[in-house]
Amino acid sequence: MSCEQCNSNHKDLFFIHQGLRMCRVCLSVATLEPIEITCPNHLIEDINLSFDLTLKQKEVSKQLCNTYERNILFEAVCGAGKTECVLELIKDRLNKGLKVGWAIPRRQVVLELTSRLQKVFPSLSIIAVCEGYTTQLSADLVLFTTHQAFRYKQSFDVLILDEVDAFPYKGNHLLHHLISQTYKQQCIMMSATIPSNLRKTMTLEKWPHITCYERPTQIPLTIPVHIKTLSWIMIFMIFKLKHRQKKWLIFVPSIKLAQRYALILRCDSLTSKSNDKEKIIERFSNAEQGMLVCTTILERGVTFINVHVMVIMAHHRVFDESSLVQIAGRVGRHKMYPTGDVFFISSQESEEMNACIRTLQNANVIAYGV
Amino acid sequence: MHPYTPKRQCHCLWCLVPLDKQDFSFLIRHDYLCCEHEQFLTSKVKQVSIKDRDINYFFEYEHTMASLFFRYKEHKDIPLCGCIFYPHRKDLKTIIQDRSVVIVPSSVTKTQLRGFHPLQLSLEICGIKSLDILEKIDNSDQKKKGKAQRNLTYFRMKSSYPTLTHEVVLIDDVLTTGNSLMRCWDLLESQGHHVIGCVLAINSSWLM
Repeated sequence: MSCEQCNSNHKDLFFIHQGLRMCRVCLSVATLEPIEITCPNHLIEDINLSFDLTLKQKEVSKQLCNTYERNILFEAVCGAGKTECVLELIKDRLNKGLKVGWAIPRRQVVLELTSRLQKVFPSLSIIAVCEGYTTQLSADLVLFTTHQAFRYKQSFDVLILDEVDAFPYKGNHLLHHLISQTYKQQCIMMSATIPSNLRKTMTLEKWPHITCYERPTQIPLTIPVHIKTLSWIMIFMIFKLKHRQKKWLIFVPSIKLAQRYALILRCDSLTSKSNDKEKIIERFSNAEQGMLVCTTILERGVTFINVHVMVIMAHHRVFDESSLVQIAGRVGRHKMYPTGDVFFISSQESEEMNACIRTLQNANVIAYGV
Repeated sequence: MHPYTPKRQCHCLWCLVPLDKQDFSFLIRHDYLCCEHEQFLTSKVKQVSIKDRDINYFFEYEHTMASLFFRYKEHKDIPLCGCIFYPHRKDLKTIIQDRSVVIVPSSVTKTQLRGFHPLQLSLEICGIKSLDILEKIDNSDQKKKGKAQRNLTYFRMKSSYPTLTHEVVLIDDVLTTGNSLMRCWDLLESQGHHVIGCVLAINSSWLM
């Protein structure tokens, strides 16, 4: 017999305690009463955006809004404005009295997106539910990390599942099952890097596939440059970059390396173990030049203006194709600074690096023919 | 055989990943742990002197150990009792020989809430019968107390208990401040026993 909550069915994963059959996989996920989500007590009239959507964004937004199938796959390149494209859908569904939730694997992204959406929908109560933010669980619009999905069994009518290919959601069967339990009618899965297994399911089950390969800046995506070099030359290069008037995000494969590089370069580092993550991000956002050494924690969901990117040891197994595409996508997101540099630095080539470069080139060919 | 005694299985007892031991089976000592956790649990018994008392221990208490104990005690993942003393049962039995085994008591309320005694169970599956003959006078939660308050925790012998051997082995799972263990040690010594201390993991501050 399989577990009702996580679908595990192997006998090794169960034990009997005080007469009850317990599942070890979801033991830490307490069985709670599902949360009742509130509905807005008024109709949402306007979306408070400080800029106009491009023609392509408007078209995609309309397509999303008018699609009512159970599953939709929304693929858009980094910086294409995925969030802006689903705003119309949120407004439409909420005005129809449906309950909308937004699940994201990364805590940092949940927090950032919540404050962005609060500005867009000032009349709605919007909350983030993630580690450290679990006192309020119900609002008009709930953004939550995929780990919190156990609280919302059948709580939403429509679920937006952002960054479907991100750790820790990717490949985690428990989280997949928990997410599938949260919504009743529709799930919009979106990312810039759709995993191949999801593509196969989409083809098999004939889900609508909505795409947007254009950025609002109408400038092609920056193609990363691979620099093959030894590590001591690499450090020398970074030192030289430090004296150029630019803002650099330096990605490294591990927390230890991030701390070591930050010490050498005398700059901040940001990893999952850093304290005051929000402050470090704010400090880097406000700076006009400088460096921030980070792990893949910053690979997605964050926008810095006029930033350039460097990936150290880009051949490392941590940096898979989707991770590298997302990292490259941090550059050129603002219309004032639509271009930038992306360097992959490593002593050897990797298939993942080449795949990333190919994916970005293909997106440019589809969108702009270049 | 105890129902929680680890046996050959298809998933790692610790991290639940499916076990595929075909390639490295000759390296594996336990057939219920993955390579990563198998390596982690192969520590040998060591000794450290704290306040002039020699204490046997197996591990330095760091985050992997902490997460194991958290899952075992707080999430009540009872099968994990096979990852506590069980992989070291031979070393443990060498220390114990035919001496009586006394455990450092834990809060009665917590044990009732959990529905099992974590330390006693982890020894039970090794075939070691432990005696829970000490009791705390103050039953409040250790974690909620400061260091100074922990110093005020006292123990006493329970009103009735079986006869102990002259030499007793005093066992705890984790030694953090060392207060509980030392107070129990004092109490047993005051009853005329010679005490041998043994813990599974020890706070790194004691090892510097």
